[in-house]
Amino acid sequence: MAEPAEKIQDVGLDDGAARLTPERIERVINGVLAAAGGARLRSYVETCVHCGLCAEACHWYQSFDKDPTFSPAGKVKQTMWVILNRKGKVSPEFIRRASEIASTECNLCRRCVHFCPMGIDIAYMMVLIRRICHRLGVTFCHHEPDVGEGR
Amino acid sequence: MHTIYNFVRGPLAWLAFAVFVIGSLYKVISTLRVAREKDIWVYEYTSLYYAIRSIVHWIVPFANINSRQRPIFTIVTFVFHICLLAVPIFLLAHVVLWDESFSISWWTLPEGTADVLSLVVVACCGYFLWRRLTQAEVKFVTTASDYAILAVVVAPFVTGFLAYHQWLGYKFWLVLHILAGELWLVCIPFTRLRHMLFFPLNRAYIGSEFGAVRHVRDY
Amino acid sequence: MKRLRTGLFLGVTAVAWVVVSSSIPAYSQEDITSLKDEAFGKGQRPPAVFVHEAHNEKAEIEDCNVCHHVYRNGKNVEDESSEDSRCSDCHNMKKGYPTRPLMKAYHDLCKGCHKAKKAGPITCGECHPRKGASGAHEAEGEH
Ligand code: HEC
Ligand code: HEC
Ligand code: HEC
Ligand code: HEC
Ligand code: HEM
Repeated sequence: MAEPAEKIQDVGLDDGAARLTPERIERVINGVLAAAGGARLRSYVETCVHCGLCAEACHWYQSFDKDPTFSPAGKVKQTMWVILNRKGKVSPEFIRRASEIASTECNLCRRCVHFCPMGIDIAYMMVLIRRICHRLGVTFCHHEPDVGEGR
Repeated sequence: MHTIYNFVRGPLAWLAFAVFVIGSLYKVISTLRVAREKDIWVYEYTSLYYAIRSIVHWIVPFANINSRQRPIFTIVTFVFHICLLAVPIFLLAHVVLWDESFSISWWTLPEGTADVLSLVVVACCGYFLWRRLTQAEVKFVTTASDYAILAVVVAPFVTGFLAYHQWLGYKFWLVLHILAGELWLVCIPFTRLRHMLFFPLNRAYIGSEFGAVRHVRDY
Repeated sequence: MKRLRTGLFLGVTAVAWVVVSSSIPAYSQEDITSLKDEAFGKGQRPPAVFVHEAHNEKAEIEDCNVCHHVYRNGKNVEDESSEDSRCSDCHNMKKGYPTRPLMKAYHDLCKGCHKAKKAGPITCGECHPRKGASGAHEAEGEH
């Protein structure tokens, strides 16, 4: 049976998020998107017809009893859609959750890409989220508290 | 009547087609431009052979694994898209109008068939709506705009059907139909309806990445 | 009772009129209330309403040759008319001679004038009413 998704305790995430300010988040996000978010990001987000056909592809979705929050498009919805809608004005708590999604609920296996009729590379968007979170210093450290330091 | 009809069928129709064509060109060209600047590998990876392979593979029903896993959805979506394009293009009334305005005409659907196909489109939209409302994985990624887009798509078919049958308020439905059709055209480049334009582009790129770079199948 | 008798009388007259008028092949323009040309075969739309005499009176068309024209050297010859022929005698179903197929000949002639005059029907359903020729006149009053 799948466990209900509970809030993960992680020093890297908690301490990283605690250090964030809204200005920094906005600056970093827009910096990353300006540099790395080009035609593909735009096309992927704007072409997704919200059909949900990618869900079946994802082993996270499957092993969490088809919880839609684990579906590939569901993960994009909770991360990239919000970031683009709010133009980077998101909270530290949001970044913490985004990091959790992009780093621990997606393995970038790209199986969903093979299921998307529109040819959308969902993993690519998860990589962008990971990059943003990394730049913001909100990354997983698993056990060792000091790895989360820096930047 | 003449004034309203001439306006929606004249200047407004020109405007709608202009926005549709110019807007679509703008969207596609500007995306290709940005790709040239920021996603250079898109051009390096894309190969004509794999691009075509991928587009064909995903436009033919039951060719790819995903479409075989959900036969009902596959049938509905293919029937839907075929009718969606065939009815307005080959409708007698539309061809008569093209003929009247530009002296060009082509084969038309028998009126009865077009009538049934319009209802098929409406039924397919009903199915999509049902999915959005009931299937958890679809519901979760559904936003208000998805319902709005569905309404824009179905509106010309409902109003066209009502006008064609002339039950009540013929002219009202006809004018509404023309407005709905024009809204439909205008929405294509500026809403997710533009997947019509970007489907081939996305597939061309990702299909090439599968085939030419990763050397894997296009599932 | 009186009403019933009047109704009966009108009904019988109508039936008689239909029987008589449809059994006489050569009919005159006074009898035309709608247009249907066998050249179209079964046809896709209901016959177009056209009450010949009333129409031309209301629209104040004096010259028969506005519609029943004779062309020579690409020009409508003023003093000649062709009411003895049907449109389909000259305008065939295909492209080619003269320059437009039959349906377009009708549409261009009828709709063309209505548009130019900003009067008269211009939408499909006004000319091809599903309710039959009589319903169209009521619908006509709307605009
Ligand atoms: C001003 C009146 C008028 C208007 C408006 C008009 N028509 Fe006609 N139409 C005619 C006449 C007259 C004919 C020839 C007689 C007939 O067959 O009814 C005709 C013939 C046709 C025919 C060939 C005969 C048949 O039934 O197959 C078709 C099809 C047709 N019209 C479709 C349309 C459509 C569709 C529209 C709207 C876009 C339209 N018409 C608008 C007057 C009109
Ligand atoms: C607004 C156009 C119009 C005008 C004006 C007009 N007609 Fe006609 N008339 C028609 C049409 C349409 C028909 C049907 C032709 C057909 O069925 O091919 C017709 C049919 C006829 C017919 C029957 C022809 C047949 O073989 O069945 C006669 C006779 C006729 N018209 C006489 C006249 C005369 C006389 C005038 C002038 C006083 C006149 N028309 C003016 C449109 C017109
Ligand atoms: C005696 C042969 C003949 C008859 C009968 C005839 N036409 Fe024509 N019609 C022509 C010719 C010839 C032309 C000129 C070539 C062309 O433009 O198609 C023409 C032209 C037209 C045009 C174009 C006019 C323009 O201004 O360009 C229309 C519309 C038309 N006819 C409709 C009709 C209709 C409707 C009828 C029946 C009421 C009819 N015609 C009867 C021979 C005929
Ligand atoms: C030369 C101009 C002219 C031509 C040609 C013409 N019409 Fe008209 N028609 C008019 C005008 C003007 C009116 C409006 C009369 C009014 O309501 O005052 C009218 C009105 C009508 C009406 C409505 C009648 C009513 O009772 O209100 C019908 C139906 C119609 N036309 C059918 C036709 C058809 C069918 C043809 C072709 C065979 C045709 N007309 C050709 C000028 C024309
Ligand atoms: C852009 C301007 C448009 C114009 C001027 C126009 C005009 C018309 C006309 C005149 C009719 C016939 C009504 C009658 O029989 O009296 C019609 C019917 C119809 N049109 Fe359009 N239309 C337009 C756009 C569209 C679009 C974009 C679509 C679909 C996407 C569409 C779908 C239909 C359908 C489904 C019918 C009815 C078919 C039937 O049930 O028989 N139309 N239209």
